[in-house]
Amino acid sequence: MPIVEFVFIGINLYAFRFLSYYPNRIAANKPVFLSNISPIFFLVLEISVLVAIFINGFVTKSNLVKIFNLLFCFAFVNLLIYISAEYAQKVYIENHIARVSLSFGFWLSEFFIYLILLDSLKNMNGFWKNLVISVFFVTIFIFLFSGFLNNIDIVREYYERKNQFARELYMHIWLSLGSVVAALLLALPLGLLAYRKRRISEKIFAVLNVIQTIPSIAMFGILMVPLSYLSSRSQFLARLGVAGIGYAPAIIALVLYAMLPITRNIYTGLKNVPSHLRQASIGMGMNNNQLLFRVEIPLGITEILTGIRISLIQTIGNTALAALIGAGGLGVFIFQGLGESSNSLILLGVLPLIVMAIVADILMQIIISLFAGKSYDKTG
Amino acid sequence: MISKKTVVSGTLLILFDIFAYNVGLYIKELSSSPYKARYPASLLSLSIEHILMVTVATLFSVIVGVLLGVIATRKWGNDFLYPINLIASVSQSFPPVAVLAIAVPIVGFGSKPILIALFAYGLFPIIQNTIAGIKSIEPSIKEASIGMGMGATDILVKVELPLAAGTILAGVKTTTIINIGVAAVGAVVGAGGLGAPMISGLIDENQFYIAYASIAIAFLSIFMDSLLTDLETIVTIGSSRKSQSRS
Amino acid sequence: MIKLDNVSKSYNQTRVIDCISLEILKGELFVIIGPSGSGKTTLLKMINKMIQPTTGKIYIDGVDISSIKGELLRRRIGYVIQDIGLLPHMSVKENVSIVPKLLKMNKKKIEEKVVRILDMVGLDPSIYLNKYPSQLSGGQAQRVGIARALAADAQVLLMDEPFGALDPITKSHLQNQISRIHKKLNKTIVFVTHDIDEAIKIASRIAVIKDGRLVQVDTPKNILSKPKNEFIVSFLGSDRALKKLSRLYVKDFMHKADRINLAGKDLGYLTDAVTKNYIWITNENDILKGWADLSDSDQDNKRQVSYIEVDYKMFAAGVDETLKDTVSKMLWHSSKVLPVCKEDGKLIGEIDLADIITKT
Repeated sequence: MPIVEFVFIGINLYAFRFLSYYPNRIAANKPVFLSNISPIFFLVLEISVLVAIFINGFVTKSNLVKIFNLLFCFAFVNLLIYISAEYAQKVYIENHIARVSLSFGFWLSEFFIYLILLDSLKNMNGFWKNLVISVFFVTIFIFLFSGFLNNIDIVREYYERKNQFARELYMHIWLSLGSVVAALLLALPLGLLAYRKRRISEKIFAVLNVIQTIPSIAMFGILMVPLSYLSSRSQFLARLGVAGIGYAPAIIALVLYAMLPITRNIYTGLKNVPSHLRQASIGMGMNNNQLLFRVEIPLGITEILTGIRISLIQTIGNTALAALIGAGGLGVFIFQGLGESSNSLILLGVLPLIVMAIVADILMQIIISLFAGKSYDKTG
Repeated sequence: MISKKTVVSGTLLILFDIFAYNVGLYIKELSSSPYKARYPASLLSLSIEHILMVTVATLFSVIVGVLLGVIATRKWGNDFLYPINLIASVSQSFPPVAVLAIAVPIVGFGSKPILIALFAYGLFPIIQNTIAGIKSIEPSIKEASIGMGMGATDILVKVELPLAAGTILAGVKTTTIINIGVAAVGAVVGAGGLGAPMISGLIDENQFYIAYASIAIAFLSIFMDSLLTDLETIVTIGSSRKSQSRS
Repeated sequence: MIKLDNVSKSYNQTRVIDCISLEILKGELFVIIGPSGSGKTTLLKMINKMIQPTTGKIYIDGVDISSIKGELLRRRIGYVIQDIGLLPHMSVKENVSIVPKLLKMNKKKIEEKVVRILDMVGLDPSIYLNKYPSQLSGGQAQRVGIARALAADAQVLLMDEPFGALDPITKSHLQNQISRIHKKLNKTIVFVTHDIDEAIKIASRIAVIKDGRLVQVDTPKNILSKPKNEFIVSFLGSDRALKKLSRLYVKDFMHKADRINLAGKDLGYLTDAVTKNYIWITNENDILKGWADLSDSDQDNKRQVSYIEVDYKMFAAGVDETLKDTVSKMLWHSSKVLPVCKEDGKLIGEIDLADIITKT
């Protein structure tokens, strides 16, 4: 029941700072509340929240309520962005040095809108769901590209580092995707081995679990020392760019972490094939390899793909830390922002990270659903 | 009860904490490295500091998390179930670092944002596992308990929580391990613990510091994971009493 | 003892229970029976306030239960369900002790009581006290469930299809057990089932429910002899005549039996001494040894005699046997008359199929 979220939005808009005003780079920031910016807008928004609560509470036709909620979310998201951009523009005109950044109240409201959105999309079929999500993203991009948002701190930071952003984004995708692909190549034979020889499977998973337990930053560290030693001894490696810092320890660590979900799901995916199907196939005269490729893998493919999906999302998150050891990626902005105490910089790293994770999730789900259709559920 | 893995990793941790600097100094002599091989604080004190940070944050996460999970599974709290579950699963797709990155702008620097970030992020696996654990109890057990005349508090305390304890502990385990990692990264914003030599080492390219920190953190996480797994086994066996039936 | 006064229950717009009034007398084993979805479980759960009636009142021992707090009421009523619901993390002893502990009974007394009750439900306390639910079979677990319901000395026992998930043999044993417990402890039992044979076997009175409405309330005998409408007739099943026989006993239908001790005599003696077509043959201790068939004649219309030896254990009907079992035996032995013997074989009477047909 989205009522709870609406209530929180209502409280939020009033109580928490909406934007932050920085008179200059050094001085402390001043909180700007929604009611300060435009009392009229504030009242309109609060009233519409009340209306939304009323409608959600008393209107019984759930489809109408869902459509209302969707429209509400759409309008709200764009209104909040519009108000912030307008205010930022106003501030810029008055004072070129001052900056306006999106603050806690803004983000929290957007977060709750996101939850309401998820709730409204709950029982929709895939096509409409994707359509709605696309509409949301398209409008935000229109806002961005129109330049209207340019005076908001985070957008300005982006423009100031456009090239670097592109570079780090590319690096992040490269690192994440590359690690998962490499992990997949390693995990396939490993998973098969674990499945075929049950006794070894225990040891394999024990090792992989230990690796998973170690926090990634420690893993990076453990790899850095031997790698820097090796690269100092080998010209060849040094020329490749392998060093104690940089992409080498990052990729090795990322690959190690990415392996567990994939290996595990290959193992369970194959194991969970109903044994009567296996019996029937063997009875028909299939040998082990034919059994594997014609029966077990096709039936276990959804589980295997799910393992890849989990691995991908995990890796995207893990890659953020790679910036600490000089490998680049979106983490660069996060840690730079932490170092300079610049929220906008931090968010410049975090937001694309979250979006990337969501997009990867959706893409993988689409891929999985393509295969799921053929999953021969009705085996009788 | 306490498994071999726990004892071994615990012992390795303590031994490493005590002797690492000695070994490091020896290697420094051999390789005539210009870097400092002894960090200003002892690994033991850093480990304890790290454990404390993680334990305190996790403890608060458990208290609040279990509370929220219980509320979400009550009949009167049912409205909260969906949003809480939703927030919990959405937050799981945030990389842990992101939470740290979000906590700092709000709270500032030092140990406080770390504790808050650890607390907040650790909340979600625990909430999810509490909800999952309670929901996985067979409905006939709850029906029989109501039918017997057990009051709502009795049912919660004597039936639901004991039976969900294993699953909840699994969530605590997840939280703890993630927290160990995030706490290490927390050194970037001034938190103490084993992250301090790590970050310091990364900045100065001091291999010794990096090695000390990474190995210690590795042992610590393996130890805590193993310890909590033991606890989980004890609790789960206690609540379902040997699935091998002798009848 | 339990009175339902015009009770109805609706969910949204659907009426699940429609104006039911009935009275359950103290000490009865009252069975509520009906097809799936008829509302019988809902009705049961209104008695211990697990479901609130939409309209109407329920009285237990004259007190309107809406005035009593639910959980306090339930501690005074035993509740047994089909899935049993034993707490898996507690031993049998701890499970059975739950309600006594809630009622703050004396610990020593609780322990003694648990031992006594386990014995009463047919479980050896020395074996089962410390077992855990995962170590019990379905039948054993349900016995513990019953023990748990009896532990707090409740006067009323509610049972919701308690034996539905058990195999036929265990089910039969537990039905007998519950009948025995009922007679011994004189509890008021409200028992829900969809199994008509079960109902007829154990009930003092049966209430038939369809679509939330009461169709007929009466003793098993009366429902079988005087079913109120088509629905009940079909619900009883086409073998209702045989069902009736399962509540009637040999001792009420038998009559005296003629017998002869053949010691020292030969068969020919019988053709003159006996006018009937048959006679039972006993030994000097009056134990049944066989019977003599005098129904044949030869061409000269002179009567023939043949002696058939029988084993009384297989052939004779027992005094407490149900007519249903007796008729089955008659079919088995292709005989319209059976001797009635005591356990040691002493012939005490005979029972005739003709009597069974005309008198039931």
